[in-house]
Amino acid sequence: MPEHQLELRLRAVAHALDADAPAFDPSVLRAAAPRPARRRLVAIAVLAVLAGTVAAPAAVSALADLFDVVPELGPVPADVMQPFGGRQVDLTEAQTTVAFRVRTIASLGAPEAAYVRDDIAGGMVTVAYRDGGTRLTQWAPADVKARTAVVPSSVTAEELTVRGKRALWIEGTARGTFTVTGADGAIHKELFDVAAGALLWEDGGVALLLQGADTKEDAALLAAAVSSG
Amino acid sequence: MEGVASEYPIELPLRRSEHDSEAALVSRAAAGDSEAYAALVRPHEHVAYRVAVSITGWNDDAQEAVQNAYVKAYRSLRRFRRGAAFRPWLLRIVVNEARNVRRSELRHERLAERAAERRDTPAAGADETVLAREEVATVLDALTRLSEADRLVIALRYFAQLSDAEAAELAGTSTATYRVRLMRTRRRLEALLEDADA
Repeated sequence: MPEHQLELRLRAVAHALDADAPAFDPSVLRAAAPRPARRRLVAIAVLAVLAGTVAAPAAVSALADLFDVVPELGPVPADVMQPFGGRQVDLTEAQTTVAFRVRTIASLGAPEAAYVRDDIAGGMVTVAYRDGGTRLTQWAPADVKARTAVVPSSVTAEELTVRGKRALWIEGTARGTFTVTGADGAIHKELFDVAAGALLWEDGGVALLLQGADTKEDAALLAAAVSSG
Repeated sequence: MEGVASEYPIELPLRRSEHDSEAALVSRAAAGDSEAYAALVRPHEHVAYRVAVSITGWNDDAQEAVQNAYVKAYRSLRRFRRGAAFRPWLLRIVVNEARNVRRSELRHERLAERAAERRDTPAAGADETVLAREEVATVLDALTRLSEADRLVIALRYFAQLSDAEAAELAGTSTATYRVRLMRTRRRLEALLEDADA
């Protein structure tokens, strides 16, 4: 096939696609005013920073998935289950469901409860403290992909440091959608309530999500006390 | 490539006055002027969608990726480098969003089904419309047989009309490497299309 023929075919296709191109709708921006760079709504910039600070390509990829916070344009579905729960087990059994060492928050003592998600291939474990109000959820991003979609107008994301590693503090007034894709490709869409704030970070190939801290500072202290021993 | 006769318009780089106008729109949009942002984005709507299609396939995911990218770009305008070209910057966000949509939903497993649906249910109309959609489906099917990186190489040149330097930067490679990769990818695509046409 002559080169110019390929070019013509590709350009013809390009222009045929134009009929389906969505027109930009300014109304989607009503609640999405640009924010100062210090407090970032969307994690792309954080990703760029993270990519520059993590040496191993695999780790970069894992962080990219872990911190994949995207704007949700549509309404948050109301008929989804509360996330990060699952079957209650003791900590020893929880450890048998995942390939990584389960993390706990040393400063809070032994977990009051542990939960495992049997339906997520690759495993997801949550340990709970403070009458269940503080929860540390963990998974291996190499196996389990997580994506968080939040309503841009009501959620902010801020970069923190946990033991010298960058973390993402998400706080807002609205719920978002937390999408988890298990190692088998099955997709689980669940609610992600960030009204009380949530801290996301990565430690030794394990993604960690802390919910239910009293404040951002409390979250950072608890995160610093997380141990795999 | 230059001088090839075509009935399709070729988007040229912005002239200096247009570039200045674009910079003014960026400043106004970054200050929260949504109408300025609309004026900034509209000339790139088609190109954004084409590039998204090259990543997600010809389906609703491409539209979702483009809309997400518009919002993300708007919120990121303060980080836009003054004096830089807006289109490559926007397309970088479109590419990332298209990857996000495709990866997170694993929708690529359903692309073949959707493409088939497109072919089976062309818009009602003249025969040439049906033929056009078949041609689009044929070319896009061939494209989907390439790796994502190779599809992007093709899309940035033929769908987005970026310069080699802009495309190379967006693809994360040198201009020389991009040109070599484009040549190789073009050969592979030509072979795929010849098989499809046979």
